[in-house]
Amino acid sequence: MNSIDAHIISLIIFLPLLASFVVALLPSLRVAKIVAFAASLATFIASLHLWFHFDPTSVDLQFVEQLPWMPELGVSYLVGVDGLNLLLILLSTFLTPLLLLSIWEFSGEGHKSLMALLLVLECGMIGALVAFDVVLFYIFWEVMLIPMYFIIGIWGGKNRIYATTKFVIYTVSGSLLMLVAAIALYFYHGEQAGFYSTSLLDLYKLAAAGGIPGEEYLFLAFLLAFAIKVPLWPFHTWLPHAHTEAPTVGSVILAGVLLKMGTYGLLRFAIPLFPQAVLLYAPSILALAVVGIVYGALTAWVQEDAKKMVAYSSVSHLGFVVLGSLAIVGNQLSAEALTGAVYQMINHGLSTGALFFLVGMIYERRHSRMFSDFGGLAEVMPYFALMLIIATLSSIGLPGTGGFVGEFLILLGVFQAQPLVAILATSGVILGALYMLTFCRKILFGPITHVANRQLVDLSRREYLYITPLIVLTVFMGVFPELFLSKIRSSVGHLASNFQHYHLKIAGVHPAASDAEPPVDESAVIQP
Amino acid sequence: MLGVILLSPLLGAVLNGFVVPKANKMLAHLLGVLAIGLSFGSALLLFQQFLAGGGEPSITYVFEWIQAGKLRVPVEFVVDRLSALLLLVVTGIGMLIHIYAGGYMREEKTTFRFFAYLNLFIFMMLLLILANNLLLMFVGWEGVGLCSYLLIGYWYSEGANADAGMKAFLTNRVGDFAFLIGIFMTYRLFGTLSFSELRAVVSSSASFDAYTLQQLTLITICFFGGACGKSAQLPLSIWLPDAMAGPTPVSALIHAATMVTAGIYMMTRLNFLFYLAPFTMEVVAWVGAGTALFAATIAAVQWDIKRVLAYSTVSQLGYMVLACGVGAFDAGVFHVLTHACFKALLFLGAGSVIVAMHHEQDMRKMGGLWRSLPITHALMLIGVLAIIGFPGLAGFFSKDEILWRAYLYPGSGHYLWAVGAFTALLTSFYMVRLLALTFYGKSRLDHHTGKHLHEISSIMWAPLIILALLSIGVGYLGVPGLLAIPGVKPHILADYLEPIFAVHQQVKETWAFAGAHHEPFWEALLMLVSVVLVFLGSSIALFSYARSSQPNLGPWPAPGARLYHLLSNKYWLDELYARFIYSPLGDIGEFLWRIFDIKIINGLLNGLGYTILGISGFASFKMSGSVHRHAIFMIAGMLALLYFLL
Amino acid sequence: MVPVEHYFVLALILFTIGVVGLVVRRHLIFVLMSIELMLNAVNLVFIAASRALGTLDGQIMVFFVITVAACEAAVGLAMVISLYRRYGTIATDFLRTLRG
Repeated sequence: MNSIDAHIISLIIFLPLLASFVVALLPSLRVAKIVAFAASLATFIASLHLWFHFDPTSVDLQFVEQLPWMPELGVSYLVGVDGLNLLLILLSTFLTPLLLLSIWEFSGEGHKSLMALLLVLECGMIGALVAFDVVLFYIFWEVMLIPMYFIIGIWGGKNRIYATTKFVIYTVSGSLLMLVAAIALYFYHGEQAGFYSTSLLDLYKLAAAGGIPGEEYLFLAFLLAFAIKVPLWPFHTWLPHAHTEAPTVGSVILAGVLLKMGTYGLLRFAIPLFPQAVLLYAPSILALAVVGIVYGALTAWVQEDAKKMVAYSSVSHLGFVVLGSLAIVGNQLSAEALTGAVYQMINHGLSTGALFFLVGMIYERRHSRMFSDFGGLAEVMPYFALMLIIATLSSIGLPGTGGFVGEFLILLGVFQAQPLVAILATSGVILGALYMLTFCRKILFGPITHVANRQLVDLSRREYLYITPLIVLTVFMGVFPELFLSKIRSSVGHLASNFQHYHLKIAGVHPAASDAEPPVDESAVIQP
Repeated sequence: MLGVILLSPLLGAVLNGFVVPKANKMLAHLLGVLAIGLSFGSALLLFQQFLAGGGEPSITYVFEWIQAGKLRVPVEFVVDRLSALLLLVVTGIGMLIHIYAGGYMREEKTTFRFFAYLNLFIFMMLLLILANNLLLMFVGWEGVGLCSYLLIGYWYSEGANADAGMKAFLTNRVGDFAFLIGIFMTYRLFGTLSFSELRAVVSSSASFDAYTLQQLTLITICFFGGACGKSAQLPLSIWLPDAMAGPTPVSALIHAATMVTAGIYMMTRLNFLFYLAPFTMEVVAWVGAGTALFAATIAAVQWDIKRVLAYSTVSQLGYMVLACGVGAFDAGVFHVLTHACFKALLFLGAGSVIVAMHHEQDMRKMGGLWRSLPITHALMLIGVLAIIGFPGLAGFFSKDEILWRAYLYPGSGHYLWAVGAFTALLTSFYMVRLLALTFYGKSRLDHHTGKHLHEISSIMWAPLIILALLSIGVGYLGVPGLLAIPGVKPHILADYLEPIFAVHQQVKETWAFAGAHHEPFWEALLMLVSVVLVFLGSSIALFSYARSSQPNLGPWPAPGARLYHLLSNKYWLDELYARFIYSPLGDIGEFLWRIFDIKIINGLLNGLGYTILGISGFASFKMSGSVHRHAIFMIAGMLALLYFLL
Repeated sequence: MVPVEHYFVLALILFTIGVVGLVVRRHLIFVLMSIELMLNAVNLVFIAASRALGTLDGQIMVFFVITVAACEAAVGLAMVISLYRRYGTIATDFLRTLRG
């Protein structure tokens, strides 16, 4: 392993953090904008290194960096990449420059702070994605929360304080339970293995070795944290508020990456750590997911506010992802469904991100998101209409867009496990078309009823610049999904077939060596 | 070769959509026609090579599309007898309609958009036809649906058009839902989605266990559900008449000649599954016959020239589905072929009338047009004669083949024949009615329109002449053995398609009645009956609408008044859906959102929040906020701690 | 040689003065000064103990405390100034936003 591979992840995590400090302190806004954008672009390019050097044939953890952090407590800085998080990392690094571009001509107060917070957020997201230590994960998980709190609370709409408080209280109450469960895991590991460790790899071994007592409760604690984040029905009521009140960038990143943390956590923590509990609870969770799919779709359909509609559509779409994560066939997870779930996370990030961007564009022009204020925009904003239609189609899951590949694989896999569930969920495909086309119809088609809409200008060059990559990628992922699927196949297959005795090792390290306790740091520490 | 056929329309769409200057209408048209012309030329070459090569199917692998778990879906195209033929139909008719559209859309501002969609449609349709697996076919299947949606709503500033597009898309989605379930079940049962592999599995064995057969029945029912959506069969037929909101060339190409026959194409492609599911076949046959009759009755009372044609399309599609249901897939394909020619001709002819009348579609305001529009009249006449099954024209051969094969179907065959024959009577009635109302009788034009009436330009009628010739000639591909026409081999098409029907020999024999070699007497008699019915229907129509100088342009008189009411309201099917599905769903959505989401879930959680707030409020009632007091409490606390620890 | 207990007593007196000052004074500057006084009382204990025990640990601690105290003074004064700018007063009686 060369030195780039050994440190690339730390670079990707901390470059945005560093940049955020610089951005916040720079006196000149112009320079700050350039620095922020350049840093996020550099992060993206660095993350491309992962893409090109990732070994898709291996199920091991790659690009690992492991440093002792709190050795007495067995906490280490352990980060790595496998097929489950690779694409999500890329999604985060891909979205951030676009976000910064979208606020390039931000007119409100605190432009610099907003950029700095977005960069901190990026650091938190990537950190949480690559962390393979429970404590590290928890810290990054909370790091994501803080910038989001401010983004909604400062730059949000009228009801922003209510929305952001609700968002934080919801998320924190879930994650505190997760913390308790993590501590319980930690002590149990100490008891069983003889040494304390919060490394996920060690915990996997423990789970594979014979299950964890009380795992059904621990699973529920983890599940709650993730279910709130996803959000799984009925824990979703914070989402419409957060989305409607958040500024466009907030909504985009929330829908694009933050929600995926819930489903990712499910795959990374809840399923491999507590397989017996998964078997026990999977039917109920599937039921909740299906309810969420139909419920989200129906509520999305009757919304009058474009952003709220997209928010509810997320509830529906994320239901598919949860469904795909828990399709149990025999004693395995369905690999098709799991692949679809991982793929759909990315797709949803792109298409819903694009939808939020597009809604933001008309909001900027008209300061309204009510359907009743629009209609007939296709005539005055043809390219906007084109982009909106493509984003919508991807959201509907039309073949040729990424959304189809994800949804199809999920439903195909779930059908092998639970035909009835799959049939019910497939009805979400009809309902999805129903609300999404209604959305297009209300905004784009029909006669222009408001005089103000006649004067609207089509996309500016900058708007093109940040929306086109999303749209192009959406279509690209529908036409050449294999390019992406091949990267995740091994890891997904590994999890799917071995979820009851999951294990993960660091690439290039022999299992025996990684078993050894991390060296204890003996430098002087003041005893309390 | 295949690459050119597929990619040239796609390229045309992209160029027209993004590159061509918006104002250059000529260029847009030229590019559109060129793209499809290239495609058609290559298709012709391909067909020739294909025939020269003995008609053996060939599979072209392009790239790996999706691979996950055990699922493997490559992008793979198959050229066999069925797809090669349909390739010609789609590109050929498509090209003629593209040429025509240039004239029809002359006054439009955004023709580039129109031709981009149209080219994209051709690409998707070709994808559908050439796909070698269910999923890739589904891509084309949904893709044509998308183009149909976009083209129906082409004039989107009119709310109703956009709604019609949405209705089409959603109704199709219901069918697609069934199609998807069918795909899932197929994968579960066979572990593959590839046509060639499925076919190999199914045709290798003569008998299957009960579970497989039961699954096959479910699978085929699901696939038929998909076909119902796309081919506008009951109960999903409601979208097609509304789809006439699109420009007329679109109606001709998508909603008559090509896309709507995709359902029949799909069933024919999967014939080996359908042959193993007799129950499904029975359902298919009856749905087809029912739809044929249902739509024909409605067509008889329509006043909008395009709506008559739309219902007639639904009805003709019913015939094709009926053919599939009785196992006569070759007859179904034959009717697809002939119908594509004469229905495109009829639609384009109607389009010419509409253009000449300055976008007036109500037949009550026409009449006596044959004098001012002689060419259009002649062409329409050929089209009408072809569709009603006038002996010697295309429709006669294909419809008769279907009726005869339905008659031979064991069990309910005779009833199916009766329904079909009665529909034939209705067909001749409403088609001749259309002709009479439009071209004959006294002119009911208003003064202004009458003065500006003009025959269409050559760019529009030239393609029509080709279509008219085809409407006469294509029928001779399927001359029944009974009518030995010198120089024309009987059953050319059926023989050509024979290798497509790949089931085990034993299964085939149970469907052997499908061969038309018994009972020449009955065949001749039935043929005679249908010819008589055609004349009967035509005469009634001519008598009521052409001869009298004051034809009845309102509801039917007393005994038929209630029937007229029922028919002109289309059996209230739309209202039924609106009342029992659409609006309840909306109500549920409203309820879930306003009551359940906001009041119950959110209310419960807020209640929890307020409870905690109350408790903490109680705890903090002594908190004055004074820094001093905080400090005192802090110090007292520390002292207490110190006391306990020491 | 002054016995080490004397230093401790002095430190205790200083610390008590600091505590009382913290509690009774109304002016934020005085509050800050009281805190400084308390810190220095602790420093005194460290130094005295270090001298008496003959180790360096206590003196090292003192450096830490001084550093922290400097930071605290800087941040504290900055906050006092911004509070003054915002509310026009730094009398603690009026700063009651923490009220429950």
